[in-house]
Amino acid sequence: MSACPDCGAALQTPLVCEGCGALQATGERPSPFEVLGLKRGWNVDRDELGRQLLRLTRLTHPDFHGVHGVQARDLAERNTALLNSAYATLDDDVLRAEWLLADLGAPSPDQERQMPQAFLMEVLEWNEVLEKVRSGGAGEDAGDRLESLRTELLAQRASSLDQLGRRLQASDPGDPQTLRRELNAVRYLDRTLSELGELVLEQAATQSD
Amino acid sequence: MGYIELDVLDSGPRRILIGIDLGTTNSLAALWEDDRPVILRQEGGSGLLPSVINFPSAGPPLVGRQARAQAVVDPQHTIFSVKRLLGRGLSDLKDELRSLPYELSENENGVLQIEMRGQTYTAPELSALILRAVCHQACEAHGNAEIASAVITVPAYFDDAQRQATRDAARLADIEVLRIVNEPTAASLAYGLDQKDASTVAIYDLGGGTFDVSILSIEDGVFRVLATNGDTRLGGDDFDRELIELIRKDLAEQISAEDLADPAFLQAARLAAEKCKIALSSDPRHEIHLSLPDLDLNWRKRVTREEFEQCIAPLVERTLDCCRRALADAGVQPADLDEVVLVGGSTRVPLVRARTEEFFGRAPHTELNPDEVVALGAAAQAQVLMGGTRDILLMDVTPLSLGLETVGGAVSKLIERNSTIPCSVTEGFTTYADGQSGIDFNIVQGEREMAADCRSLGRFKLTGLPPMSAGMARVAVCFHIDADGLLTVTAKEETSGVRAEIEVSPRHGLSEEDMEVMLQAGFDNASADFDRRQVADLKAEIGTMLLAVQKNQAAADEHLDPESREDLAEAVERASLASQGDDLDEIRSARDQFEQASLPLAAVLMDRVVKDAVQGKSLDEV
Repeated sequence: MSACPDCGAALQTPLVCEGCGALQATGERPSPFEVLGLKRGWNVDRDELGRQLLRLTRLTHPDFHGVHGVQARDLAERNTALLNSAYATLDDDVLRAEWLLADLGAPSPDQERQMPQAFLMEVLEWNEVLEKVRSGGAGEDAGDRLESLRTELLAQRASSLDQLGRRLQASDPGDPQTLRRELNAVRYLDRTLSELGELVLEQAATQSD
Repeated sequence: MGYIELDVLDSGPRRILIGIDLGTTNSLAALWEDDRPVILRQEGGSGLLPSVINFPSAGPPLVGRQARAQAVVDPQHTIFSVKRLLGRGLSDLKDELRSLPYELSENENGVLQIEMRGQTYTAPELSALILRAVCHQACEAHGNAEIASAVITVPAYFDDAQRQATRDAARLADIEVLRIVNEPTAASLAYGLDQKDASTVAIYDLGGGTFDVSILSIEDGVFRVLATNGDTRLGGDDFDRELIELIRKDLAEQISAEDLADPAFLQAARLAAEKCKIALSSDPRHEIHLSLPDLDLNWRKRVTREEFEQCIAPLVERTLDCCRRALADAGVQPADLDEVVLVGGSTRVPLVRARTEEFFGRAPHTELNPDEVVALGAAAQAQVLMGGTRDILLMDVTPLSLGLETVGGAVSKLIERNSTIPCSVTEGFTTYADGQSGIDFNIVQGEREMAADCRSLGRFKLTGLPPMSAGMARVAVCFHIDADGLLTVTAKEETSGVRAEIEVSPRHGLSEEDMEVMLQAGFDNASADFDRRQVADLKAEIGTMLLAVQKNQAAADEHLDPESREDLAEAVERASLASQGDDLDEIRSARDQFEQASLPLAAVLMDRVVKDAVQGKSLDEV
């Protein structure tokens, strides 16, 4: 762990010295775990993550560095942006998994597009329900159909993520390509869930018309 | 004591830091004073400056109440709702154009222009006139202080072009912008919703021309926006337009189509509609009265609140659709909300109150004046920015996703909507042809999948790439959104180190060149123009007072004591002399002295009026 050039205190984050408040110049892409002063791994304590974000933003935010000149303000902009992006990465299960996969040298979604075989059968079923609602074929049942599909998708997502997370947290995460395929499945579920969300909003809007 | 001495030595005007709410209908300013924000208002005034500009046949433009008073007399030279034009092009304004009594055009860069008295003005220039007038009024309200810099608010749902245009307006008005803050976020600050326990809050802000909804989490002084949504073309103006349509439909049989499109008719209908809307907030019915002798029109129509509510119901529902989206993005259910706050003049409309209460399932806060709350919050944020406190921290978001157009015309998103700002995202792009020496980028903002359906913010080109096979170049494009919510884009080819000389030429926005020209041009004189206007007004006032004294000279000679007579004579002499010159301060001070010195005479005259009235009448007739 490096020390603050101004006051010598040990730096808990590469962004700012919590001892004297001096903003630090960092490398281009520091690890989000380092930025937020957290231990690298799948398991992240959300409460601690939130507390760290607020605590560090209070030190880095440009609102508090405007009176210290252009250079300080620019560094504050940059470091707060790094902080926000680190938080966004760790707060989101998929983005955190993506970061850990990339760090393990796993293939990118462009390099490996496959999903686990067992998953594909279910995809067909889900699409059928969505298509039916979209074409108006579900009639008055549409709302209930969407709600039960949403419950099913969320349960599937939770169990897929849980499985992936346990691998990532283990000392040996195993074959990177398998990890990639499992994460692809979660990403697919997210796309389907957001389509479903749009559909629910559309339904609500037409009903209130 | 040291600070008293300093006060004595510092004879210059006090430099103040203000918060400005640049509104569609009204604009106003607030200042942090004695641990709280206060609205800057002239004595007895509301502090609200109508965001209206009139270009008289001669002399500098009028802004505010005076301009508003010209709306019916001189509709073609009176501009309302400039804010709706900021950062927009003609194609964005199809609906508005029909009811505008003046012509809009676009220059070769897609910048909107209005021609007035042989001169063209862009929306930022017009907004600058309003900003100057707000600052002027604020300075006057605060003992002729000087504005050091300002926090200016914008609708949360303003896109980059609209924010840039607002910043340009401030630059043209010669105001240093300390920060651009989102209106609902500012309102949350003013409401003092910060309690010890964490709470989740919805701010519903329906103004004259724009609608925003923001969902915030507030904890221990940190105001964190979770999600925002809105419509920058939905507000009280649209409620008015519904009523105008009602009037036009009703009148279609009585007067010709030509007259229905007459500028004077349109402005009169606009004002009548606005008046009707306001009246219906407290009364169950209102009679619209249009009297236009030139069109031989003297027309009355009774409108009930129910009829009005039927007209605007679809618009109110549109705001609730935005609320649904904001809640969904924030991952919050209406039942999870601890508070709901209504902001903006249009939330006085009973239907808006009823529907929001129903939608959110709780009675909303309406304690603070909805016209003032945004300016108050801006002043509070100004206090934070000048280092006054670290207890409050605003963490805002960008309302719309940002990305680049890909080869197939789709959008590659770099920054998702509702990302906390400031934020930076870098993404790699490559070439698709062998030996390709440059890449064109189209920066887009919006939620749609195809670039053509999003708003293009501008294009840039990375040039000078060394010859490489297709797909070998590694171009890193970085989007940075700063704390003002403004975007900057940089690009670099990483294998050769070629840096893009990016000049984003904004669509519907002013280029750096445009700005230079405008800053050089007549706008330097706008402040002087304003002073000239004041000088003229004061001279007119003095003239009226001189006439009155002349007319009543006999009474003065007869009834005033010698000392008062002498004071008056002296004041008359000074005022006549001052009004021959152009020194604003001298004229103002002479007017004040004149006013004071004429009080005894006024008292005498009042006395006489009463006596005359009573003379020859018995007591019980009085």
